[in-house]
Amino acid sequence: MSHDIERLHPDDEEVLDAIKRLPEHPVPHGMEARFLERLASQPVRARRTQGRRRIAWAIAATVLLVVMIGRFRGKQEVSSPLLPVGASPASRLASIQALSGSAFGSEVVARLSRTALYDSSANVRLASIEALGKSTTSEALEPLLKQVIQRDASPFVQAQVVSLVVSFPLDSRRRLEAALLQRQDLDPVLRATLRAVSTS
Amino acid sequence: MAKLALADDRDLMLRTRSGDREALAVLYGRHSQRLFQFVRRWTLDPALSEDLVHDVFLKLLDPSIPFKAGDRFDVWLFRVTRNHVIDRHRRFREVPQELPESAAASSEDVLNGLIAEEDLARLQAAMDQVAPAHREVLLLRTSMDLSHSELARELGCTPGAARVRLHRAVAALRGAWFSALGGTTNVP
Repeated sequence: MSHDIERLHPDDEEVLDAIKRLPEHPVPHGMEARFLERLASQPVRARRTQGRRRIAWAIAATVLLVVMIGRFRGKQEVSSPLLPVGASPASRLASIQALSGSAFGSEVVARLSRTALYDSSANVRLASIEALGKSTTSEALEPLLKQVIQRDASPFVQAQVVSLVVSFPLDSRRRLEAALLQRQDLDPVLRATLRAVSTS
Repeated sequence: MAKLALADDRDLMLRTRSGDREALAVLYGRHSQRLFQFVRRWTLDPALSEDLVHDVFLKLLDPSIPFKAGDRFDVWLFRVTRNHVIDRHRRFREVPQELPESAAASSEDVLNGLIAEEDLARLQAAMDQVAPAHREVLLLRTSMDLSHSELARELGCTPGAARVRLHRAVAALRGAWFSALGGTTNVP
């Protein structure tokens, strides 16, 4: 039945077979050379579009990281003063967040830097880095971030470092990105994001 | 380049889409002649055909072109070509003039059993005379060996309608053949 549907009347099929046997028209002389010439003069549209896609992907990944950090931090309860000795992680976190928006003296910067490096709570270390990022210059922050990268295995802290590094001047950003990529235990999503950002 | 020469069409197409011009050159080498024959027979203009074929191959560099790895490359390429020809030259899509029934009927058996090698030149001349829309159907069927269902998909109609269009195109070809003979030939 399918044979009947697929085939025409035998006479029609004969005509179609004859069309298949028609001699080929000669291809114009130099056709391929002219094509290669046109190809060579074609703008590199594909690569440029690909670059745009990479940049868009990197931006999307960075936004996702920021949202993830925001959600993680939103779960913490905050209610106490500046860095009391022996206080709970929640209290230490609250005291750092209380600093938000104020101008830091050198003593506060030093304490925040120590907290960023040595506090036992990843959440507190992350908040310290964030607070420093808001009120110090990238030049001043770079040496501290290098140490954080070398010491800290927490993906949340690393994500915070990445979100700061993205806005740094190119030279400084490249150095820190390289330091981050050297870490064998770097979170795969962060690694992919960094690669995408560094190639864009 | 040697590696590319061994790659299959789909791989080459995916590479081309991401900007690999050497892959495109290999694809061109493989398919340009067949595509040229298709366009040349349809448009009847060698220079225009060359131009259109080149346009189609350069289009393949566009990463937004909708090629899926599961598609049969040659059928897909013919589809792109056909759409490009139609876009650039609407006249190839003109509504075919229906062949008078009498002409079709009286010429019907002229072709039957007569298509020997020496008649192919006359068949070619008849092909050149039929309406572009008829030529399109005949070429789609014969260049790609498409079934009625596949032909219907390419033409955007039902398989039954595709079958009818194909039959009409063959009838028109017979009419053109008959006219070429001056309409006076006695049918053997």
